[in-house]
Amino acid sequence: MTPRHFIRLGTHAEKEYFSKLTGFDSVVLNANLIESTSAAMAFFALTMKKANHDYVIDPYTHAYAVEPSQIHSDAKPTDAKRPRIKATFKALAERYGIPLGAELGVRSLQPADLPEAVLRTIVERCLSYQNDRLGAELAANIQFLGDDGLAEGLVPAKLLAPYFVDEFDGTWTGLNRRALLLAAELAGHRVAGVIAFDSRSASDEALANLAREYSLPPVNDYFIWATDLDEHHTSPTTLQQYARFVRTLAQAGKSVTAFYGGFFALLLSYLGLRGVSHGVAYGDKRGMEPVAGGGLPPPMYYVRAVRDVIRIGDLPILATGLDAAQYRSRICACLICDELLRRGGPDYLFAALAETEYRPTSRGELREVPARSVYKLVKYHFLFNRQQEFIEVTESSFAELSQRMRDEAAWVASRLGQRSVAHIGRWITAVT
Amino acid sequence: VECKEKDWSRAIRQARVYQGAAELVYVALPTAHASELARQSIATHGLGLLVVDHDGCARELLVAKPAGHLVRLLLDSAKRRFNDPRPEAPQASPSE
Repeated sequence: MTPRHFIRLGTHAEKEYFSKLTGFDSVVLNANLIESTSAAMAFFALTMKKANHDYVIDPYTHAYAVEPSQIHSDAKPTDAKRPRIKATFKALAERYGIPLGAELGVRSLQPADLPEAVLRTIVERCLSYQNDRLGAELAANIQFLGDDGLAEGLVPAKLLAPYFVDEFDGTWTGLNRRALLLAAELAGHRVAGVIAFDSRSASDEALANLAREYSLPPVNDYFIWATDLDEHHTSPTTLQQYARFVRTLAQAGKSVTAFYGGFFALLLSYLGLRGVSHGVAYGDKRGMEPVAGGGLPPPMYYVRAVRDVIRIGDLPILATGLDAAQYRSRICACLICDELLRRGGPDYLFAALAETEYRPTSRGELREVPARSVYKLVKYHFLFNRQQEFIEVTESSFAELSQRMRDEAAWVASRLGQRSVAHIGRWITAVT
Repeated sequence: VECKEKDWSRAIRQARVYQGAAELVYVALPTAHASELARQSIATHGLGLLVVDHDGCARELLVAKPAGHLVRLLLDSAKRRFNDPRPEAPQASPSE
């Protein structure tokens, strides 16, 4: 069975990729993004629905329980004593009934803030938000649509229970489970759970306990978020723990989707993983408290033989001596690469990906940076490749695929060094 | 020329990228860090090696050669950029 393919919308600018792509199944929308521009998001969800892509809304409740600066606005505070909270998170807290009041953004939410009655209200409001928010927005703008029936059908495929990241210190484990059970009481089989845990604190025993707990009825659908799990650099032990966790839930009959996953997550489909979600610009991992700032990262080029991105400057080294036909068979023949190769072979492709432009900095100087077109090309290229990888894990046995991965990795290692493909062996071992 | 004070393997990785757009690429290292292993690795990739003394004097220990992955279009584009001065930053108007 082909794993279900979810793509997460990270920014409004990414919408164009969704409108031009086919072959994926569903969209993940962040509640905070919905809260910032709800009408635009409602129209986007409707467009997706018309193209047969359903959606889920990540309620993003964990954001209230992590370091408070994560929801601070970058804008300078008007009151020096109090940080300015991002408007979207403030609005979302009000809609959910997060009981922090004036302490929002000053301290993080604790289980003690959520006695049963308060938790019940938050669960109820969080599910209603997901179920109704976009439909209501569409109904309010129905005069522009001219189709009265559309708004009613605009509901997510699943309703995600509120969740907080489990650091295995006993803080959130019980409350997460309680929130899930309350959600199931309210919405039955429409509910899915998000099992979010800090992969850095996970032990075999802790994960086995978590898997046992979530194997119990009544919820059957889960999204897993192993925070800070970097598929390419994490230890074999952590990968094996993650793989076992997925397998245990799958064997208990649960439908499990990786909330942030790359090709390693796709390999877990051989152990029963039913879906993988990622972003337009890779998005195969996410930290509990992601590092902010640092400017636009350089564009990177996804290489299927590496199952990772490489620097664009490394691409000519990888492709040394290849003609267009060999480039297609060894590296990529996606729509983007195929067209660039047709126009002028590998050299033309390298030049297109090395385009630069001058952009003014905040200090008014001009800086030479990768051209916008390059970011677009590498994103489409990645998305086409990822689509192929969903097909690849469906059509190949694990033995066939792992042999192919080893052969391709050996070829890459001969050109870029062993370090660039060191993860391939670890992945195969973890899934075997 | 890719200069590194200590980590010659990183210098090689970066210099190999430059070989895609430049005919001759050198790694420059302090004399004390130009070990035999570093020299061999640099030579394997057709990179040149400059060693720099405490007093700032540089010597060419290895002569660079064009690499197999030199991309003529990237080289031409780099030459054009060197010949064309960077455009002026837009000036803010007095009313702004």
